[in-house]
Amino acid sequence: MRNNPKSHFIFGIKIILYLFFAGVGGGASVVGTIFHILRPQLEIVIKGGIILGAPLVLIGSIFLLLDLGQPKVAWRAISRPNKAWISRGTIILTTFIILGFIQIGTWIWPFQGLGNYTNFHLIFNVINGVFGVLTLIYTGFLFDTTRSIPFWSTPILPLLFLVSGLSMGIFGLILITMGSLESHSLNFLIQMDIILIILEALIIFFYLHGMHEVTAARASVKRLLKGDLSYQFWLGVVFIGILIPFFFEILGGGSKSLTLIACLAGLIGGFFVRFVIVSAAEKTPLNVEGVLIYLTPRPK
Amino acid sequence: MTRYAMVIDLKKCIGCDTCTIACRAENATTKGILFNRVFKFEVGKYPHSKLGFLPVTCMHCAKPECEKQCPTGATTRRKDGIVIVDKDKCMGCQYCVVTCPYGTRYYLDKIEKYVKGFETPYEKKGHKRHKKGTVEKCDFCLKRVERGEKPACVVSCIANARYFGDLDDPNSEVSRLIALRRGYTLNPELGTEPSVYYLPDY
Repeated sequence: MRNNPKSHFIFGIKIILYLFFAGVGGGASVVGTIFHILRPQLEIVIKGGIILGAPLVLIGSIFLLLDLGQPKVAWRAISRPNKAWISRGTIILTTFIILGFIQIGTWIWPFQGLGNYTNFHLIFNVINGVFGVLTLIYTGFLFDTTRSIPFWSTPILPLLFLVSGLSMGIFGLILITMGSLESHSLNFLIQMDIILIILEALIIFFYLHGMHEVTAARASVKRLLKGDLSYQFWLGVVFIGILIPFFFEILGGGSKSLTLIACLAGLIGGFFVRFVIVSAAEKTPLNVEGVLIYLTPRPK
Repeated sequence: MTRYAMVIDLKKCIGCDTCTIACRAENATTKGILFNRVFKFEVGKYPHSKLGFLPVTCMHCAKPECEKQCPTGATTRRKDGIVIVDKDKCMGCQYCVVTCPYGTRYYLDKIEKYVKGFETPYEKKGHKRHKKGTVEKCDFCLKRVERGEKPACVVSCIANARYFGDLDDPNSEVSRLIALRRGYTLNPELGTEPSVYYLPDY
């Protein structure tokens, strides 16, 4: 079996970095919107969501642009929203970034053109939050519709990206607002996060368990559990990304240094979640009269 | 309607890679990119084993995943069934390379000379047809087909293992071979409906 190196391509590090930044930014924006509806008195968290949202997604999008071979024709990416998920995603990202910067310009920046008309900001923030959710889940749908890669072809991925993104968003929000937050508000954020971490751990378990039952995707799961990606999975995702934040947030009791470690670990874990999902992808082997021919190199 | 298709007879294929080289010569692809590849593998277990060969090229699917997911509209399926990439529209996002189930799309990140530091006159001419930063693939030798000729791999095959013709014409050589020898496509469960058929190796 001989392989041609240039056809092995599955998304690289720039795409993983995009997924990370868009996850934190989109998640923080959605959490900010939720607070705007439920706890409007916590202005610092709401504003934190806006400050993190669009700029981080913009940084992620720059990685996407850097990944393009012909960035000059990148505007064509919006041509086919009726069929292609990348087109839909480009429209979602562009709208999200524009809305976010309008929010920053009208509310947070010194020239508060639209003043303190809170209903306006609330409506704007809700629209922004909807696009934040779309930013989080559209990559999940993009992966889900990649039928050549069985490890990605599952509707649980949009859900995983949503929950993981929200959790990362809270980590980011705690990091930037920790200094000025009162302890009961901080605890409320931490409690939300603990629930999200449990959900994320469950989704990852269901995802890998389900994929292990799919013959074509089993190789990918094995790479995570005991193959070449096992360090990134057990250390990066499970230990740093789930166990450390979970126990530090539960046992920390609002201690700022422990919360800080939990947040940093949670963000690193969120990066590794994306890293292993992208890196473990393998195409369905070609089936020639019962003989399977693998298009991607087989790890030892 | 015409729907161009290719039939590859695995019983005749001896894995000599003439098609690979003929394709490279015809399309002047850069080092590392081969629109046509021949996989070689073991069938059965020793001592009852033999070598199997599988030439793989773009399948020119009737329902191409790459075309469906192309955000720029660079990849299109012509009326005659040939799937082509418009290199002026392609922005090089490479998602089609990921989504193609047959691994027959290639991202041209740099144009490389085959021999380091030396460019043959043919490379000099041929490399102008390629654009760095775009995705390229087999187009059934579109220029040859438009001239009424067959693709380079079909013409060059030393074992006559490749056939080229119209799948929509029930009397064409390809349609008859598929019917007679029970031709099959690769990974039909993906629903892509390829136009490249294989005749079984028995």
